Amino acid sequence: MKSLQTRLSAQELQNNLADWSRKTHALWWWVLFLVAAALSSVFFFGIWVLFSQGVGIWGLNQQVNWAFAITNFVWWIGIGHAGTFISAFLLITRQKWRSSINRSAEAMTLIAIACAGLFPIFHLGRPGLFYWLIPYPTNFSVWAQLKSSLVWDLLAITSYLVLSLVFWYIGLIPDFKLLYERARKQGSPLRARIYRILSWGWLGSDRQWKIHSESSRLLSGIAIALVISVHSIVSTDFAIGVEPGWHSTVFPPYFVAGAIYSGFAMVLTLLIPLRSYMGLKDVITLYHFDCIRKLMVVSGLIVGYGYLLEHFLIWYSNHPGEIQMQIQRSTGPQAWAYWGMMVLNLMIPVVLSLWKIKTSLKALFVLSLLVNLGMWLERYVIVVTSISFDFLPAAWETFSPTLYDWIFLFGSAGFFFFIFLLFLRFVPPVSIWEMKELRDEV
Amino acid sequence: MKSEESQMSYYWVVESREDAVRMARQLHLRSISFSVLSSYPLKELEAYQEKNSIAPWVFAGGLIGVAASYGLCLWASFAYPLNIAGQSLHNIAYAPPIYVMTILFLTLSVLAGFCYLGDLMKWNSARWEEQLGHWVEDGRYVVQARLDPDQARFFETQSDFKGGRNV
Repeated sequence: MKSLQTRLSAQELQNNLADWSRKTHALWWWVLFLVAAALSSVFFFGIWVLFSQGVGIWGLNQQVNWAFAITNFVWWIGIGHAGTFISAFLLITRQKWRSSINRSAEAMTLIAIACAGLFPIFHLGRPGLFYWLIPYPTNFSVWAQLKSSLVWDLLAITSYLVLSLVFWYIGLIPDFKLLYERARKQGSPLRARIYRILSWGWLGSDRQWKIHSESSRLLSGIAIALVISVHSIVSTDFAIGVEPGWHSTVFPPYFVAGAIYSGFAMVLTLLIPLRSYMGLKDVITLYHFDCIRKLMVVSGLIVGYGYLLEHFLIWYSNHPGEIQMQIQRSTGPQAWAYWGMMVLNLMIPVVLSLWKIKTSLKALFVLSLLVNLGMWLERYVIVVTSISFDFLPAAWETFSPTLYDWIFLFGSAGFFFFIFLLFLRFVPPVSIWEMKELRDEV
Repeated sequence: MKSEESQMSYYWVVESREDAVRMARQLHLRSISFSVLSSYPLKELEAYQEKNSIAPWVFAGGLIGVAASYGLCLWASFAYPLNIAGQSLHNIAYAPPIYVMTILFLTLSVLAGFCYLGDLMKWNSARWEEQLGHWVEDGRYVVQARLDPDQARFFETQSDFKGGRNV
């Protein structure tokens, strides 16, 4: 527990954490915010063009009719999993180190789910009519097809978003109460009024804390069920298809492990700069990064095992379609993506397991970016190369992304960082009450 | 025994967590209902608290969720004039939507139970305890109990209450 100790007193800790929102006026925040805002604007321009001209603006063709949009969807939803994992699994298993990072990780989850949820809508032939997916009685007498994976996605993402939002907000309520008191003391009536509304009348009584603790534990239990099921459902979007490269029972566990792996990589990508720029060295220590590193080694090795098993099953099935798809995947025009995925995702867990890596945050940061890239390539390989080379060789066709494909990828990343920076501006990025509790217990 | 009309709320501001817990224990031993305001949960007090639980809310939410989602699948199957791709009554493909919708209802039931049992979202009812928030924000603890004057005088003489400042 020594590694979780902070040299700050409880009051210093509280003052520092509660005043983050004022410190984010720093130059670095504005620079990042403007870059993210510019990318978001490009993203919304892309959305406007998409809604007015349709999915023809992407590089889709008759054969490859799912590409970047679905790749981005699976990538974003995977990133969201780390926040839920930190909130749920680590709370149930009473891992105290989660207290310093759970708030930011949960915010990351929420924003990543919001980004992910947009892509299935974009991919609809007529995205403006996305609400037809919602099962409600219409005068057309047409129901949403509840056996369709598209409707599964809608329900799974909605449930995931609601659960993540409730979990995140319940954790925030006591901090909003503290911020309300601080704003009142600092003579800022508008801020005080806003924080009072946001704190929902929280008093901090022992009765409320008991209900709070019980709610968090119950939500953790529910979230564990959901964190496994959501990415399993996402994987069944592919696995229920008969395409070579998709029709595999190994997908659900290996998708879940991959999601946790990529999610933790994004946590590192966000927290390593945040720690130095926001002066959080007393709150987020090297011990936290080492714990994340260990979890990434485990989840990365599961992903690697999934790759090997997938290759073994292709060989063992002796299915000509599967074998041809694998040959084309590894030697065809998209081989760069396949080998990029293999090298990055098989090598990085090994590099992460090296002892010295834990003391070098720069190395960890670079590795986290490479994991993000490797996991995006994995989804690209699964989505695009599988349908490029299906059972009918005469129809084989590859995919070339257009400018709009890249706009949607980098624009969504810009939108993600835009919202995340706003979160840093208005909400304490570290849970104040949990840090105070942790400090007392340690 | 004196009537409840003679009772008043007493508030003690306490500097240390240990003092707050000791005072709460004294009140609990005499079956006096109390509450302790703090800026983080005090695990020591969990044993003294009422047995209110969100579990029944969650159980009800789960049942409603299963019934509603299964009912939706059934309705969409047979009360639906157009049958596209065949909408059989009981199909394994309905398992994912039923599962995730049940989870959605479970989540909403936790939220409802949290708000109701936690006495939240009552913006219009001004509560005296809200005026004590600044003590808690400053890292102190507030112990509150409803006592009649005799009881209050008795507790004031107790050593465990010496650390507290009556406000």
